Amino acid sequence: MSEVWGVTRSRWSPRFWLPTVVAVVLAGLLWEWVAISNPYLLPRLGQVGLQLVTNTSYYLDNAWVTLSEALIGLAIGLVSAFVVAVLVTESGLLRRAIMPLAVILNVTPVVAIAPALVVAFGFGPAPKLIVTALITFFPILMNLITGLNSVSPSVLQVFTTLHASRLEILGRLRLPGSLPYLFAALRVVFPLSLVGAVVAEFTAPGAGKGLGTVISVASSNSRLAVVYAAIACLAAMGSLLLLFVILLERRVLRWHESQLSRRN
Amino acid sequence: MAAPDIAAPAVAPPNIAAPDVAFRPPTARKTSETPQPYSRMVTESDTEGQNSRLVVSGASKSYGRPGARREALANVDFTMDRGQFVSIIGPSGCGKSTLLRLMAGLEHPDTGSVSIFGTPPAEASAVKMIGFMPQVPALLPWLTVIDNVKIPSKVNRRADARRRLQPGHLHPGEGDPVALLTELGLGDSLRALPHELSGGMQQRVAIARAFATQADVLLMDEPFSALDEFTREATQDQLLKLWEKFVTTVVFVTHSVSEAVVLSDAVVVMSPRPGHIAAVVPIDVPRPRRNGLVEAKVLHDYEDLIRSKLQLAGVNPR
Repeated sequence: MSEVWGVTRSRWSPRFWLPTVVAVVLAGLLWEWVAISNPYLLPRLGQVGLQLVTNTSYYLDNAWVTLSEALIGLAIGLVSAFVVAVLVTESGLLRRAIMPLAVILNVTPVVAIAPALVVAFGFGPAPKLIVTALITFFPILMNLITGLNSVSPSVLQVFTTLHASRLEILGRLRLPGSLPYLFAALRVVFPLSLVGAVVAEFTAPGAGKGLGTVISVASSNSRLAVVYAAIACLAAMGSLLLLFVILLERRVLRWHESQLSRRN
Repeated sequence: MAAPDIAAPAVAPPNIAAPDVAFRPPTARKTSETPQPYSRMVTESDTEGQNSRLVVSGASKSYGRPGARREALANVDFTMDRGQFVSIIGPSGCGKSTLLRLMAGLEHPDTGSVSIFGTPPAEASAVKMIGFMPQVPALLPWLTVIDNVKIPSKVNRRADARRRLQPGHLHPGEGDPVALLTELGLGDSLRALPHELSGGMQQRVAIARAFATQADVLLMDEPFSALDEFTREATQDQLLKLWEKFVTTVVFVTHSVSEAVVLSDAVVVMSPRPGHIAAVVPIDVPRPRRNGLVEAKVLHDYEDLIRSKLQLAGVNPR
């Protein structure tokens, strides 16, 4: 639908981009007004920009550390959630055994576990990966379970009369059918993985690198411009991760309803 | 589609007083131009009789907890010959879908038995003798049209070799997916995804998928109920064409009296509470019947006959 209320919605028409630009400019002005009247509340945007420009490699270094922790942790969370989801949907016995544990793990605040993990695994990358994996595990697990169970009964009847094996039903029906649910989870957990990495870095500051460490150290020195420069890096990384998931989803889920309205 | 042939021989009026032979033997079916490559009457296994019939005997099925059981089927006996097209008609709750699911091996009768050309349904489906077509097209949305039609040959591959040894099975060869789809008018849509097709086209893909394995019997559960009138008639014609070409046995559940008449060699009228067979009406009209080749009056007489049977069975048909 390109015609809405008789107005052509092209990306280049002011009607498309003007509201966004106006909102961003207004937010920037409000920020500046607060920063000028209360210098301890917010840094000036110029100072944050200067930080990023003058110390680019410093921020890139630390951002890379945080990003790699987030992505490796996410990969661990994804693979383990996938394995557990397949196990509990294929076997009632395993479902009754595993699900209570998974739920307990989910309701426990991961932030509370982080310091204990630092005690156990030290200041290396291990606790960061574990925290990230834990925080991303449950949303993926729940969505995958729903997705694996979402096979239409009619399709299942067709496969049953063909005497398809459980493995064939899993590989040819359940797994492809669960992809839309997996992507819904990925949209949540890709940005969430950064939260996991930063939280873990907070609990072990002064050790190694990472934007969480940068924020923790700079805020104890009241260097607001540095804090907000690091936050800006995190926000940018989060946006890029989300963009990546959405683009991937468009490619992989060409066949799915969620993508149909996109093309004409 | 060609216009009705005016020079076609006059159609005999229907023999409403039931003919001596309840079901016409499949050889009686003649198609206009397609020579039939396989003669089913010369097969050795057919001499036993058992292997050329689909038999349901004394089948009962109930649902629900003890104490609050609902009898879906009560002591149903049903026999049809290989190569026939038989429709099952009746109101909701008369057990017609249950009967179909028993034949498909999707459910088991509480009492009685089902034999698919001499083989129990579980074994028959293990060697892919059964093709099932549900109400909805049930295509896999992530596969292209051609891949959807190929999927039955990709699962349970072990069955293909075993099936040739099955006594009740006749193997007329593989149905070529591309040829099937072209015949159904989908030759241009081989690489399309299901959601790019209309409902009628999706249902034709499902028909192609059902024929692709060359199953010995196709069980169809109201496959055209969601289609509009025009699409439905065109799809019926195409189904009949394939059935004539591939010499398949079809059990077709439907709500529509006219659909049952135009398609079938015999119409089984079912009645509810509990589900049982109220009447069997043989449709003695020459084939091919598609595209108004048959006088409408002849079909209407049969429709009236079936409606009266449905009324006798305590049902008010449309």
